[in-house]
Amino acid sequence: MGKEPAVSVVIATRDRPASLARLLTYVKRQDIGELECIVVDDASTDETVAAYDGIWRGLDGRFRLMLPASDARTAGGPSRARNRGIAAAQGEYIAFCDDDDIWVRDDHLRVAVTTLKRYGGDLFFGNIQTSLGGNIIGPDFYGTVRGPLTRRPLPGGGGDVFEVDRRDRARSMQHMFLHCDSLVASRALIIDCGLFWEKLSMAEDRDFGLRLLDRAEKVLYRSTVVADYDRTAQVGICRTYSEDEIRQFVVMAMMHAETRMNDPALRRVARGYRAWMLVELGHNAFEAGHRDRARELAVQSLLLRPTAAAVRLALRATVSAHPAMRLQKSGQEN
Amino acid sequence: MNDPIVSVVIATRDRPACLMRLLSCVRDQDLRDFECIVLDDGSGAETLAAYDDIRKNIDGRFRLHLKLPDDRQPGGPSRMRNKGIALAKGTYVAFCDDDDRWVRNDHLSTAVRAMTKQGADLFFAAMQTSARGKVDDPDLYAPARSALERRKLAGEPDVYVASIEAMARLLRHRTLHTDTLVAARALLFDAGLYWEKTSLAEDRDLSFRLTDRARKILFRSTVVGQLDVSHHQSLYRSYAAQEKALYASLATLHSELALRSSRLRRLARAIRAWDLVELSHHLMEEGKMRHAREFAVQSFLLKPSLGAARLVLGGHPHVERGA
Repeated sequence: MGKEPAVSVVIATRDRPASLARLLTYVKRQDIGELECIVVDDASTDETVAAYDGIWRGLDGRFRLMLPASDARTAGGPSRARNRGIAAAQGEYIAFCDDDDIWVRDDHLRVAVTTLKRYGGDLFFGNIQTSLGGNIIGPDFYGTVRGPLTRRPLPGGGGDVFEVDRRDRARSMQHMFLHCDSLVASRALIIDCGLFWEKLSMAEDRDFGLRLLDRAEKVLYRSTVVADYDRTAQVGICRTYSEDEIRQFVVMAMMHAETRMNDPALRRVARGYRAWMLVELGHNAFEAGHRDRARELAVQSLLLRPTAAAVRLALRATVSAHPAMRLQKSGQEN
Repeated sequence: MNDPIVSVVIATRDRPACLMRLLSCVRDQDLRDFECIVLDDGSGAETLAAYDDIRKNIDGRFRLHLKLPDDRQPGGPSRMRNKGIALAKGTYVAFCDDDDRWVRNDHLSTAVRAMTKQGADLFFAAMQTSARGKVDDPDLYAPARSALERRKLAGEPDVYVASIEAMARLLRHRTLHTDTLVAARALLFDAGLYWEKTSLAEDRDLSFRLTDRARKILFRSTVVGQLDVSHHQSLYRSYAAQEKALYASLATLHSELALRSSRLRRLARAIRAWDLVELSHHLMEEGKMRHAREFAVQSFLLKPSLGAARLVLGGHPHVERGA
């Protein structure tokens, strides 16, 4: 290939040849010519690897497959796989999509690349929809934060691209995270923010998204839905984690982001996220009958960031954990 | 054939020479009634070839479990040890890391005798550390020794009943190291086994949960385990200092969610507060003062300490670390 592509699409995959093949057809249909697509396989079975031959027969030279080194005996996780893809990428911009999701617009990459170039942006994300078993269950993923995301429309373009200024970045991420499916970032920004954290295989996208927002010079948001986030297939790595385990990993991912971010407002967002997860863990402890633990978690949450939900949980757990009501199980706690 | 009284569970990966040394220690134990379950976590071909030699030196009480060639799941010591516990038939389960060893051949016999006599479900013994073949720290559990040695068992020269206070003292400074741990199999299941989602500080997490659930804990004051702290290749060393603090904090939160004793939960919070102080120190070294102060405030709110207070107020970069 003579010229460097404008954009590199990085896809990490493991043992999902059918989903991957589907996603690649959507990548192929993109109406931007100068793209390369790097698929990084994370230690799939021999059967899956054999299926790649068939998939690649329908693809052109822009599609590359990176297999793990022959001495890699175990999966390295999605973060390491994506970082390998990023290291191999030649495009000025890098786009991501999870192997079980798809892009629903053929102009996703073209709009991303042209607006990023035209306005000197380094981070772009489009709206996404969520679906379950082929039915759309959430048509507007970023709908709840439309206000801060769409305050500053960009002149020209299709009228659906907005600039998100620094203050609005923190505002829009209070109860939200940047989903990888519609993310396009400059390679320089990705390297500057420190890539994916390779020690993390759960909630790694939340950590990465926040750090990108922190370092980006100019962030662009497209309000049109460009990707479909399929929650049916969310049975890969998530299935092996319980809800509470996921929350604990989100707590750590947010703590990691907080240690790395320069913007104090985004650090507060990360703390708020942790506070929220602690309340959720507290609710579960309460439901399981562990009132003392629920109260302690609510208090920890309050000290990180005061919220009505944490106050309510603390009160509820305190009232029902009153010594008079605890007599019968006094031998248990302490 | 009767079930053995104790099962020794060893997870290993690509350390055939160390493993052989450890298996000799197990073979030389003066208690004969054991089984030893070795779980290989996907070693390379060279190591697998070396296992042929190892097999010649062990008897039928040893079982070597290899990972299936198609199993690409990231393993990790937690998952391997849990597999071993699931396979174990002994009333008690003993552990040792593949690069460490036992320096006494009466470890298993003492543990089993004392536990059976006392109806105890958790036993651990003193440890020393070594670097490049020389003893480095002769008494790893020294910070809690005086508390641990208060109630001696009759009929045993060096075994004590450890109170919850003594255990709290120990856990404040140290983790119950896997190397000399012997636990009733039932207790391991009751405490919830190793947490397979983390490969770092997983022993800290389990130490807390075992201590929380155990009916009676015994401590042997004679050094039995030798922990090798030489700078060799290990999973632990692939983590940067900040990553270690983050994962340690995660593991401690995980145990805190499961602990029944409010005293141990308080201790778990205090340890997480130290992890935050640690992160604060790292940020200060990077010159991020405001950032460092935020973490110090979080630490102080979780558990007030002098170290955190100093970082919040002065932000002096040379205050002493942790506790």
